[in-house]
Amino acid sequence: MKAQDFSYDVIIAGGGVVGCAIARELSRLDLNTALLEKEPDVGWGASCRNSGVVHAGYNNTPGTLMAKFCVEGNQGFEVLCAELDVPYKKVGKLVVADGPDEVPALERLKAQGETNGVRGLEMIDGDRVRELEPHLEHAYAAMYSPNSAITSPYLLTIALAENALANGVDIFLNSGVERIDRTPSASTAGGPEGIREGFIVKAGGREFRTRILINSAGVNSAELSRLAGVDLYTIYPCRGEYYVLDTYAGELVQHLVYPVPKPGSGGLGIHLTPTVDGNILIGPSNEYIESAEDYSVTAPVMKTLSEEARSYMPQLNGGFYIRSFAGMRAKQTPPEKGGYFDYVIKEEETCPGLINLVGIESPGLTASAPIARYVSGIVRNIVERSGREVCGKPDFILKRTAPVRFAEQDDEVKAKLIAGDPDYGEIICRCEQITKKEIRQAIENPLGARSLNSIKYRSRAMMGRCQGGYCTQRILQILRDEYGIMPEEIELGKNGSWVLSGGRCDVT
Amino acid sequence: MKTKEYICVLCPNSCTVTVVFGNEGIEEISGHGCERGREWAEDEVVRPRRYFVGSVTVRNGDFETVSVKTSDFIPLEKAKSIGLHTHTLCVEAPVRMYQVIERDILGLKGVDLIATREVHRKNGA
Amino acid sequence: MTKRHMTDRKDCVIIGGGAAGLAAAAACRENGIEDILLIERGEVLGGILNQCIHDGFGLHKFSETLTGPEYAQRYIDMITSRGIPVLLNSMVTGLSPDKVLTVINRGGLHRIQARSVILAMGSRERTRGAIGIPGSRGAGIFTAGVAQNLINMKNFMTGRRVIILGSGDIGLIMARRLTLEGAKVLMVLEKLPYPSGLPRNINQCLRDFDIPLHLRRTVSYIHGGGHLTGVDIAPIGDNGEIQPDRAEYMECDSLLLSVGLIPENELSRQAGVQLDPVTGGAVVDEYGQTSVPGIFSCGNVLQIHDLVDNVSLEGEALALGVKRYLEAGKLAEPGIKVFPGQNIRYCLPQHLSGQAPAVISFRPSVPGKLHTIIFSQNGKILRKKSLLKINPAEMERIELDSALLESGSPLQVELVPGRLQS
Repeated sequence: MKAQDFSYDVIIAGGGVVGCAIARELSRLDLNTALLEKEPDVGWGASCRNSGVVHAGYNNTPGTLMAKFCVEGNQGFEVLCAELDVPYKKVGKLVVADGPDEVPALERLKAQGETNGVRGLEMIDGDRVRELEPHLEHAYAAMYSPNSAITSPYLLTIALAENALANGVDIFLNSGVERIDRTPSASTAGGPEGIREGFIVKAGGREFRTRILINSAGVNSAELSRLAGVDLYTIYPCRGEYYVLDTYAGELVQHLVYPVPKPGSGGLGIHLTPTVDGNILIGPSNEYIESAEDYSVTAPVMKTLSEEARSYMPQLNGGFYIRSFAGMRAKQTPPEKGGYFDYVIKEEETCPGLINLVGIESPGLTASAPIARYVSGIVRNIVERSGREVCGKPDFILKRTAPVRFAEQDDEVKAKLIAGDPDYGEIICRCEQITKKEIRQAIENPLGARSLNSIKYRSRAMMGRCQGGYCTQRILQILRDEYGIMPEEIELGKNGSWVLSGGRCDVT
Repeated sequence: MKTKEYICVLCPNSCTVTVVFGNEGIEEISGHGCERGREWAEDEVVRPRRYFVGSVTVRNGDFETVSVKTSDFIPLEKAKSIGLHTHTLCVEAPVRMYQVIERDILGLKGVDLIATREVHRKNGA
Repeated sequence: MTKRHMTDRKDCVIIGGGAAGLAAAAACRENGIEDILLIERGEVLGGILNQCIHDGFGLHKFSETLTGPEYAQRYIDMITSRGIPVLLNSMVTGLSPDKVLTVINRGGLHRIQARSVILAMGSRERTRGAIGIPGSRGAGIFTAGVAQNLINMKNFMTGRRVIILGSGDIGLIMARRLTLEGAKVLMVLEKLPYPSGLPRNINQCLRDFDIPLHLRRTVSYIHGGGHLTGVDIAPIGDNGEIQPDRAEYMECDSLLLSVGLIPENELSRQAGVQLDPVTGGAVVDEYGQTSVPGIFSCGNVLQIHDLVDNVSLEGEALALGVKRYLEAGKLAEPGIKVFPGQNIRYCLPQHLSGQAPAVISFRPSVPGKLHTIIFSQNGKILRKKSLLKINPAEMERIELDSALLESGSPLQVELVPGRLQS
């Protein structure tokens, strides 16, 4: 339902998990909505660069939006993932005390969790810890949180975007907001009477018009707010590095394993996190840095991560490491303070129609759906203020189906899949057993994202222990020979990330 | 007077041949296991020669490229130009093992560029 | 690929149609094993040899210098002439301890009950992520083998200004390859104080083209957000520590990694095969049999080789063991443990029964001049041989007369400097 003149009732600026959740939520309503994302795909900020944990909500200050939305999000997450066909595993979490002096901190966490409405928190002793996690030799006691879970944060972001798209939201990739101006409402198509101002948004070479602008730009949210004329916020980028461990190590850790948090550090400490695909993540670290775009991994941090991981579990040696990556927290607290401020999610009084979301760091993934509902409520208020009624769409498509994951099926199903489409019989990614069919589905994704990373996140190819050593050349060949994409046009991720300088014979 | 050590590539013995040479030419060659090795070492100093190996684009084959080599040694200093020259070549499938892709490559008399694998015609081509 | 290959029982299934699998298949058939199946995931046989278009293969086996594809063709011709059944474009995705294979191809999912299995799956390359090079993860970073495949097989070009990390043979070969294809190779970096590749390749890939080799250097940081823009090159101190504060920046748009090969033993793990942490491959006896009776291993999946001729020899040597196993249902217990001693990084096999000819392959742990390799049991020397020079980059293979072996006593293998007087 593309508005030819790019005029909308609502524009969401920022296609991370929260922006996409908002897009999906608003697509339930009879409003014209667009989502603008600056990167060539959704979710490339913090949303694909985190532990994938669905937090229970004991770690947040009672009475905050963080606490409220975390608990609500955790309790609804299984249903959300079922609707969107996204992986979800309720693995449970152990917050581990190494000695009796750490137990009071655990008890405080438990009490805080119970105040927040978290269910099932339990104090357990070292022996019980080792029944759950045999390799935690030094554990003295733990708080066990059975409702802590894991998901795939990038698959969730993609699923939310695809469902929003299917329900009529226009999604514009490569459309970073460059300029925001205010305009009288008379020039906004479909605008209701009574609201005096709207927005003109320049992004991706187009001029968009909208009455409501939602700022879900993550680590860039303070900057976007400034562009809209509201210079109230500062974001301090705080980088977290991770190590990814081979699935061979996966059997060593079954639950989320966290140390007792040290207050004032601004993060949760270095964790052991199993992923839905059977890898283990070590991290994240915690480092305030200058640039919000510097996702480098650094030697001192990588050393600390591996030493700390081995101190929990000596078996986690370097032979298991397959990759490092980094994410950026959008912190509102400066380095000298650490800690957290609560989420800012509000319509700005000085700029009616601008809904700012600032400082959405952990538990942003867990809280994404409740945040989206809350924002949807704000949107409804704004629209109804002008005298227009907002109705739900009767034909809202609730469910979204993901492409079949061949490797997860039993042999009978695999045989049937191949019989139905021989492309399922051609394995392209050896390490993760990803078939040509799934690669093609990833290339042909509904959002039109075409980079290698877009293919990687959707199909899981290139994420195994050989890190693309077998499949990369095959995928590049498929892109050239079956989709007609010239070698020099293929990009790894961001714009300008060319993979090949050209054809071999182009060099003269 | 310069001294250079070469590891001969002509046979599995891989003799280390030492050549002492100056402005007037080669003074001494030692360490070679046979006469061929001595001649080879001499060439290494004066006019090093190599086999060139590379690829040539194939049209309508079940492979994009065919691996190629020269049928005889070429002067080392010509290797790069031959490499760039292969960018201008294209051969139609099928290609036989040792098929001549180009005779007298880059004007080198008696040295051909030959295929080192077979390439079948693509299905339906 | 016809229906008759989809039988559910086979006497001998060989997983991998590269150099090792080809040699094993040819030798098994030559030795009278009729019911063989060779399974290969690629579109053609030959494995990695297909992209190794350079020469230097076959000096020992055929007394000629052949390119990779030519060497492969010698064995492919043997397979064809002996009528050995081959399944191409087929990936073995499962191997159980009782030797049931799951094979997937466009024709479907197939199960094969094998009486014996030869593991010849080869290896994968060590990656940037595994060695943890700091910096950004932009485009332009490839392992050398991937770049080789892209250029030689797919007709792509990977970059214009190249730095190569690792002086192993693949890195050296690619230094030459890129130069001949018109790229500028700025340098090859090696973290050790000596090169890891064969001396022949140092000469013909680097010296020939004036490409500098910097020893005791590594990449300490990778720059560039979307695409690589350059790297920090740092020295490595005497204690092996990287010194990033003494690093120098070098602009480049392509970084190739040649930092080691890892045997690809996923199927072996599934089958319960015991692996050796030093080699990364299976623990085997002199028959090449692994800890699972009837499962054998050869080639790069067993130990990383530097000469394909040795891969072929290793594959061919399995025929004896496979034949004996199929006839007798089992092989003699390997009661003699092999202990790698002084200056030996590892040796294979890790244990022996003493009932079959033994070829001990080993790698020295340091380079050096004259050394003597000594095989002894209980202090009694069984065999010694002088080696004019030793190099970790060059695997040695020494035959041991199994009649000399005493059962029950461990075999010591050591590399002693100088010549040992009797």
